[in-house]
Amino acid sequence: MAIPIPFQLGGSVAVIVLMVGMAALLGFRTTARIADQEALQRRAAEAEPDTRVVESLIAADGKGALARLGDGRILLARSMGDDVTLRFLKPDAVQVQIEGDRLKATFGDIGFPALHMRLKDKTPPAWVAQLAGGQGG
Amino acid sequence: MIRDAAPAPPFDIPDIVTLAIPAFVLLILIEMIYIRVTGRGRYEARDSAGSLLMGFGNQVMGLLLGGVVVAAYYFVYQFRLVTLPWTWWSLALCFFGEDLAYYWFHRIAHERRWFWASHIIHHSSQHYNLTTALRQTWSAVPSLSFAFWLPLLWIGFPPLMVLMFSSISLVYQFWIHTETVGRMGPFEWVMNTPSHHRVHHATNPKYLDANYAGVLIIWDRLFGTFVREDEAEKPRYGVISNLGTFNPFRVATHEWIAIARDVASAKSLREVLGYMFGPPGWSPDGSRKTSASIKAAWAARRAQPVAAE
Repeated sequence: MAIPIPFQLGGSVAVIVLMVGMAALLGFRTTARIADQEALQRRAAEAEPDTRVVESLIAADGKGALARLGDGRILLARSMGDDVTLRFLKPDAVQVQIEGDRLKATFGDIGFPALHMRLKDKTPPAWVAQLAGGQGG
Repeated sequence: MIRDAAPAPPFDIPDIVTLAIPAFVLLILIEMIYIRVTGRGRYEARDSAGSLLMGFGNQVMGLLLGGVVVAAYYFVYQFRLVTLPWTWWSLALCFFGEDLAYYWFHRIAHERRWFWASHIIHHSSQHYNLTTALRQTWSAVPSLSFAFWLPLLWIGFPPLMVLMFSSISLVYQFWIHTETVGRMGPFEWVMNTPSHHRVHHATNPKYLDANYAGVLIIWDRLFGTFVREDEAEKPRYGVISNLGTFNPFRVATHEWIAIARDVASAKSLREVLGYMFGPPGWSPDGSRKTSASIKAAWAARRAQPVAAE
């Protein structure tokens, strides 16, 4: 006998809630943090072995980072659960906005929405200010 | 020539996928507890939620559009070469035929961006556990991926027989999405296994474009796409450009939107076709990464002599 569609969908939702709840209860809820430039370098080299991080700006909570690479490209890093996701971009492909201690980096990728970071320091490094078009000092 | 109706199956075909769901749930819970206890494997609640929501969306899309596939199957079946009966030998042939069709669908889904835009969803988790198996596309029907099975209908396999083996293949492929099962000895010679499928989900250059099997690994061995899991090289899961979002709508549509943007910027018909049907990562000037360029760069690095200190 076929199960009515509302029961099928309701059953699926209940199962999703059960399994995600179980995963959380079991402690599978960790957040990756980018501790420092060395950690960022390791992540970048995993994705692109010859990559060299020259300068970096890491969010106060370690959940995001922006870096300038040896070949002139920009690296965006974002904590995704217990993983970190990266994007390697040409500088002109990234729009950086700074407001106080907040930084927002956007580029045209629906699979990697704008990166929002709270900065440790209200005065960003010169290379970031340059990316932002001179904003932020 | 239009023929009469398909022969009726001699038994009631159960809804195989629905029947398997309680087992799916139970196995996921067991895997979570096993990983918690042993540390062998990884789970992350938000990632699992994302995978399960993609599976839910796939279920909704199936309810909305599944009829299109059935209609296409019956349409093509009208023009069949022969009428194959429900006998042991036709069932055996259909099993192999369906698995071969799956192999080619799956291979093309990795090699051509149009189909990859739909299939990328299944690969978009950086985790590899049983919830990853349920991370399914929402755009299978609009991408016309069912076309890979139409030759079976044209030959003369009854539509219900083909659908039955597709369901069996889907259920079989659930359990191979795990890091908790190691190598399986002679079973691996013929069958697709967790080890073989870990290789398929890996982004390490060594493992790219390999092990497209559904149930039987023999097709990869036959067509030269088989790669054995190397104990010395742990698979890294995901896609070349991993997603920076858990939003299921972004997950489901990001590659389609990327195609649309690329096509909008194309300067010639060649570029339009390249962006739509070229290998994932194709670009007119070759500036983006494709599987082939990643593998070539990896091979070149390996071939370099170690620099003197």
